[in-house]
Amino acid sequence: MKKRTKRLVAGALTAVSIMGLLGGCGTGGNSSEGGSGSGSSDEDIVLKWYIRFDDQEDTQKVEDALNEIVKEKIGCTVDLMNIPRATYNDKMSVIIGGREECDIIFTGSGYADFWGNATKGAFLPLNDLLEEYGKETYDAIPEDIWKGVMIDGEIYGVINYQIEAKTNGFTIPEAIIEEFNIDVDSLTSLEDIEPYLAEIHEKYPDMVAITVNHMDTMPMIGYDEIGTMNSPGAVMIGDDSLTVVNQYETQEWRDYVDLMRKWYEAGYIQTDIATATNASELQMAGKIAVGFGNVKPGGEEQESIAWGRPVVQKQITEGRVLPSMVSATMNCISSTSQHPEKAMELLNLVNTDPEVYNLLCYGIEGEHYNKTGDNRIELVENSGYQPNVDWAFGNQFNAYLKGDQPDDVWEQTIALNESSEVSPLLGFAFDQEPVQNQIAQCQSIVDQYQKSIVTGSVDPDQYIPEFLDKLEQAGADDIIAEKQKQLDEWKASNE
Amino acid sequence: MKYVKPNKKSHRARVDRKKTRTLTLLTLPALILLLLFNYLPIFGLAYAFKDYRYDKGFWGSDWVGFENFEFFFQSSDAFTVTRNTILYNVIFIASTLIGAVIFAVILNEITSRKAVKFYQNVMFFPYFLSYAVVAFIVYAFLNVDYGVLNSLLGEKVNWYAEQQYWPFIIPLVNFWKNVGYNTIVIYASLIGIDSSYYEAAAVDGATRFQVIRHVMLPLLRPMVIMLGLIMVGKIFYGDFGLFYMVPQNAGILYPVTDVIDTYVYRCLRALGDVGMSTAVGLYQSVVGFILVVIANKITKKYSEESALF
Repeated sequence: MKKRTKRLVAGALTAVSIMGLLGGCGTGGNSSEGGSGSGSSDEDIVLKWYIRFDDQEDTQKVEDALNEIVKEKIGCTVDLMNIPRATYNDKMSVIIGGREECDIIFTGSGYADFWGNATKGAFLPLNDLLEEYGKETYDAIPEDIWKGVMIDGEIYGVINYQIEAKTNGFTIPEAIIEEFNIDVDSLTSLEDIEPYLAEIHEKYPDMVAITVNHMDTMPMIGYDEIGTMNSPGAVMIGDDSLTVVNQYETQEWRDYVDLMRKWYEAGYIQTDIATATNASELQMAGKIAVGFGNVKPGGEEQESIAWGRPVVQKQITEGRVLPSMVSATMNCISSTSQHPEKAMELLNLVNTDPEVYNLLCYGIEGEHYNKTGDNRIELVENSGYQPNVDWAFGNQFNAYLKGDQPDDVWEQTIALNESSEVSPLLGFAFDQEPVQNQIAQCQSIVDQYQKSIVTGSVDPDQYIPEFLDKLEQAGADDIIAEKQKQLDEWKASNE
Repeated sequence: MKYVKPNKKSHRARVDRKKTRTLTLLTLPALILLLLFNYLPIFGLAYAFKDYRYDKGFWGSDWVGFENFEFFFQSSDAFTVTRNTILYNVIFIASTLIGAVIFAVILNEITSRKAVKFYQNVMFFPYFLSYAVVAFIVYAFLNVDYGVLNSLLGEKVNWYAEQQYWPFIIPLVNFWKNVGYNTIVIYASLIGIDSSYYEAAAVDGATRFQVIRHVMLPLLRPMVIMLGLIMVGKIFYGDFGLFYMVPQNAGILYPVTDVIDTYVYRCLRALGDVGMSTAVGLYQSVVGFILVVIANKITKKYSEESALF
C-alpha cells in the first residue's frame, strides 16, 4: 500500500506542480482562465498545447508574438505548455491518465506512448477533421506515409513531416580519415571498416575504435519489426508473402552478433558498452574514432556539432520508410479537448505557415535569430529562446536553413523520402491485447539479454540459446502466431 | 498513555476531555493527510479488475476478473523475482537493525558531545541522498576504466557484468544508506533510558559489557521490534532506485538484481497498462499485510507488550 500511495502522492504533487508551472505560463494577459467554457466565442478559446522542450526564458514572449498571428488568422489563442525533455513521458502519463482537459499533445512512438494511448482512447481520430480543417497539411504528406499513424483506417496524429526514411552509415571525423587514410567511398558494408579499426586500436589503444548504435539493428540487417521495437516477430524485407519470423533466430542476426563479438574481444568496442551512458561525452572528447548509426541529408553539419569537430558521413544502406520512423513525432488532439476543430485549424496553420512555424522553432527575428539570407538564419548565441526541437512542432520542410546546411537539404530529404522503399507493413497496427501477457514477459527477457548480446559483451554461443529458450517459455511463439494472424487478415482486407 | 473512561460528572474527566480535544486537534492534519493519501486511493484498487480505457472511463471500462494478474503468475521469472525481493529484504532488515543497535551502543559510549554529533551527522547524511545520486557514487567506484576499486585492485573487473559480486554490493549499499537513520532512532531511545537503571547496575558492580547486555539491550527490544515490524510490511517491495539505478539496469545482472518492482516496470513499460500494474501493486500489498499480521502474532506470543497491535 505504502509504495502505491507514495506513487499517488508523487503523481498528485507532480500534477499540482505542473499546474503551478503552467499557471505561471498562462499569466500573459491574453490567456484567460476557463476560456474553454461552452457557448463562448472563438476569441475566448485558449488551446492548450503540451509540447516537449526545456524551459526557455522567453517562451512567454514568443507565445505573445505567436498569439498575435494566430488570433488574426484563426481567431483563438494558444497556451504553450512546455514540459522539459527529461520528464516529458512521466508527466504526460499523469496528465493523460488523469484525463486533464487539454487540446493538443505532442507524441510519437517514443514520446508519451502514441500507440498505447491511441488504442486506449486518449486521442481523437482525425480523418474528418483533417478533411475539413487540415486539407493542406494532409496533402503535403504522401498518402503512404499517413498509413503509418492509422489504426483501423483512422489517422490518430498529425505527422510532423521530416525525414521518414531510415539510412545507416558511418560518421567519421575528418582528422581520423586523414590520419588513417580511410577510403570513404570504399566503405559499403559494416565489415569494410574492420582493417581500419585494427590500425586505430593499435595506434590509440585507449580510444574507442567504434561505437555502433544498437537501438534498432533489425532494419539494418534486413528485417522490419512489427509492433514494439525488439518484440519477437519480424518480416524479412522483400518477403512479399509477409511471413512473420522470430528475428533472433535468423542467420543475419547471428552473423551481426558474431561480428560485434569479434570486435568486442579485439578491444574495438568499449568494455562497459552494455551499461555505458557516456557515449556523447566520449564523442565530444575525441575518444571515439568511428560512429555507426543513422545518417541523413544535412546530417554532417548536425553531427559535426555533436562531435565537436568536422565529420564525414557515408551512407551504406538504402533508404527505407519504416513504421517506426513515420510514427516518430506527431501532434495529436486529446480526446478531452473541447475544441477539436480549432485545434486542427491551429495544427494546420503551424504546418503550412512558415512564419508561424519558424516563430515556434527559432523565436523572434532580431532577438533570437538573424537572417543571413533569404531563407537562411543564424541563431543568436545564448538567446532566451532556443527549444531546438523543430521536429516537434510541425512540417520541418518549412524551416529556415541554419549554418552550413546545404541550400537543398529539404529537397534532398523529400527526395530521399520519396525514393525510398516503403515498408509493406506501413498501415498495419498490431493489436497486442490478445497476447499482452506474453508481450509483457518477453519484454523483460529482451531487456535482460538483447543489449548484452547485440553489443558483443557476452559469449553468443552461451547466451543466444539461453535467450531463445527463455523467449519460447515466455510465449514468443504465441506472439509470432498472433502477429501472423492479424497480418494475414489485414492483408486480405486490403486486397 | 493510559486511557481513562470519561465520566461526565467528575472534574477529572472534564480535564481529560479538554486534553483529548487538544490532542485530537493536533493530530487532525496528519489524520486528514492519512485519509486523503492512504485511505481514499484504496478505491483505486478496483482498477486491478478492470480493462481500463481512457475514453470509457472508470465506470465504463469492462470488468475482467483476475485477468490482470495472469501475466505475473504465469511468467517463469515470477519465482526468481519474488525470491530476490524477499531474500534481499530479510538481509536488509537484519543487517540494518543489528548494525543500528551496535552503532547506537557505541555512540552511547562516546563521552565527547561534539564527537557524537559529528558521527551522527556523517552516518545520517547518506539517508538523504537520492538513489540517482547514490548510483553515480557507486559507479565512480565500479567503473571498469576509471573506477576507484579497479585502480586500487590494479585489475580490470567489469563489475556491471559479473553476477557473483552483486548479492554483496546491494546489501552493502543499502546498509550504508539506511543504517544512519535507524541508528539515530535507536540512539534516541537509548538516551531515554532512566538513569536509575544504570545506577542500580553500578551498585551491583556490573561491568560496562554487562550493563550493555542486561540493561540496554532488553530496554531497546520494543523499539527494535517496532522498527522491524514496520520493515516487514515492506518486505514485498524492492526499492526501485536501489535495484534499478544502482546496477545501471544491466541485463546480465538481472538474475541477482531483479525484484518485483523492477520486473513489473520492465514488463509493463511497453504496454502501459493501468490494470496490470495495479494488480501487482495489490498483490504486493496483500502479501505485505499478511506478513505484518503474522509477524505481529509471533511477537505477541513471545513478548506481549512489544507487539504493534
